[in-house]
Amino acid sequence: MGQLWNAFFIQPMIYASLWLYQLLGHNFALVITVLTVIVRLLTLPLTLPAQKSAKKQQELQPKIQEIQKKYAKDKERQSQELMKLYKEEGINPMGGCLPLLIQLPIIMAFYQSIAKVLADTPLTLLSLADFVAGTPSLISLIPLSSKFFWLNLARPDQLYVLPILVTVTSWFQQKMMTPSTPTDPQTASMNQTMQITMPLMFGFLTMQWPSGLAIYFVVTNIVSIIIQFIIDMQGGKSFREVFQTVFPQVASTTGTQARRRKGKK
Amino acid sequence: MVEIVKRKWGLLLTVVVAVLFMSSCSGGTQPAASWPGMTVSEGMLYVALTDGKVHALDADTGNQKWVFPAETGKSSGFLGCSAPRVTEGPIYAAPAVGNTLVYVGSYNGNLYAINTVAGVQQWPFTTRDRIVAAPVVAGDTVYLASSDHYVYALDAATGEKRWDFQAGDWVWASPLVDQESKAVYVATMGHKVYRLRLSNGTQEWEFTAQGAIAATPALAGDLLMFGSFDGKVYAVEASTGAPRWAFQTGGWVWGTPVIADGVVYIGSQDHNVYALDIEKGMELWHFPTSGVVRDTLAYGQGRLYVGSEDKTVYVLDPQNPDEPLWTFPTEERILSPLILTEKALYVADMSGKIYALDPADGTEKWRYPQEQKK
Repeated sequence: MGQLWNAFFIQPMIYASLWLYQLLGHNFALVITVLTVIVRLLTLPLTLPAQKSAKKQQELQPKIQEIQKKYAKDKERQSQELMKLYKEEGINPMGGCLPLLIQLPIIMAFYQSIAKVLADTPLTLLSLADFVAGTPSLISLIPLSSKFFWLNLARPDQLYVLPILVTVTSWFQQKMMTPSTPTDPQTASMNQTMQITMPLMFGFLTMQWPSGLAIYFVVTNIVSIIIQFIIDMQGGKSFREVFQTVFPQVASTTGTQARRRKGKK
Repeated sequence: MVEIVKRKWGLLLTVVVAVLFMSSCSGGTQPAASWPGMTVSEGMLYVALTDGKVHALDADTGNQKWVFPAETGKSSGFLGCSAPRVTEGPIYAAPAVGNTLVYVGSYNGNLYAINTVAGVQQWPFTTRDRIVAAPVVAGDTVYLASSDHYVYALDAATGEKRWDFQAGDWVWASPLVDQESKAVYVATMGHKVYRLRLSNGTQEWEFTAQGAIAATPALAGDLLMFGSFDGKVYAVEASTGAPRWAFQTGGWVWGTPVIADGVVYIGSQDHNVYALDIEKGMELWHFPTSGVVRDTLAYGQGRLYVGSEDKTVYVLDPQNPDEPLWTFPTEERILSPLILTEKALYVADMSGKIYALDPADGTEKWRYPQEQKK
């Protein structure tokens, strides 16, 4: 099983990384960025339906809550009505799961291959040998240069810039994915907690992980945010409107300030 | 409302606990392991083990004399997830002995000079990056290579720097010191081999291979030989750096060539041990194992001792290498250089076990750490 995983997922990723490293002037930070964007674009057919489905379910929240309230005591009827609603709106409540599961191995392989290629200890380098033996053009690249500005991509960011970036982009991404429409207080409270704790957790872990992986997280978060913006704007909304939906407080504050400025004039 | 607040804090607590658990088990930024390194001197076996400590053992009995650093125990990981205490960082390099001191380079970038009698630190020398290569003692000087791209010549008694040389890349191979020609040979992960003047570290020539060079070159007369990640074994003229021959193996070469009776023996990541003619670099024979053969060859009394990643020590008669004379199974992979003396063959495996074997027939004399009697 491990050999199959290495042969079909890790090895191609390692080859792609090394080939890009050769092409992009031996800059591995650039390799991670380009490869992350490519992987996210390639998995777009898998992630897009899931994100769209989630978005539609968010929009249906008021109707769903209404059904849940109405048939609170009759669970069987409640699920029947919910299924009817999903059918009418043309969404599959489980539709988002399968594509996400399919793309998971690709993301995992990418993550693992970055860690392997960035080998900077004798033991990790020795394990990389198994993957690149027999490709002389790639062997001459090893060990890779892991310097990028102040960073050593194989080691954690000593200045904590990347952990902060990971936290901020994760929070922004969480915010984009979470429904802004009012749900029941319990769900709203949970969402709020997740929005804070998950980015903090990622930020904390990034403090210990190689900064190359942190770059991967930052880029993948930014790509997710852009994709979500595009999805949200498909309904004819402008960028400003989407932003206002995600950050109603910010929008209202800036709106009030703008009105005040107008009033003064 | 109370229930919501409880749920919220419950979730928060769960996430915090998960983070702490993951961080305590991940071992932080420390590499998980290293391979052991050994050296024998005056009846003592000095071993840098995978626990990041130097163990001084009686070479005949395996009895422990001292351990450096002396602290013992385990770090208190969260939720019982304890990790070995690596006080001074893991050690890849074999210790070196001279002038009543043991010199050991640590992965934390420090070279420690330890008193051979009591195991007490005399002085440290700090480099700017990790030390992978074993230090070399020659006369009153210690030669040290570091991942900070420098090779240092230090006063062996005080640790004071005499000269340094910027090699342009990680140096993971120990410098080769030749007192006769007053030269130091330095191999780098940046594909280069340099010859430096012993007195002041001035560069005399450089040779560029097609792959990284992670192991120390070997010298025979005016022929300098070394292996590279490009799978080749190179032979160049030691005085000029002019290439003489190259032999291609099927995998990375991460070992020092062993030279005996006009034959060059070298292991490869392709699982083979090769015997090459020293004049032309032609293959005389090869012996296949079932694992990577790194820097794990030793030669003595007309026999070639081979440690393999397949957890086996093979002993070969170079005249008739098809069938091993004897084999010895270890508990874990062998990636560390074997040490051969007249009395014993010392083998270290990746579980951190040291085996002292009779070089004649492979009988186990002792094992360290000794297994607890139940």
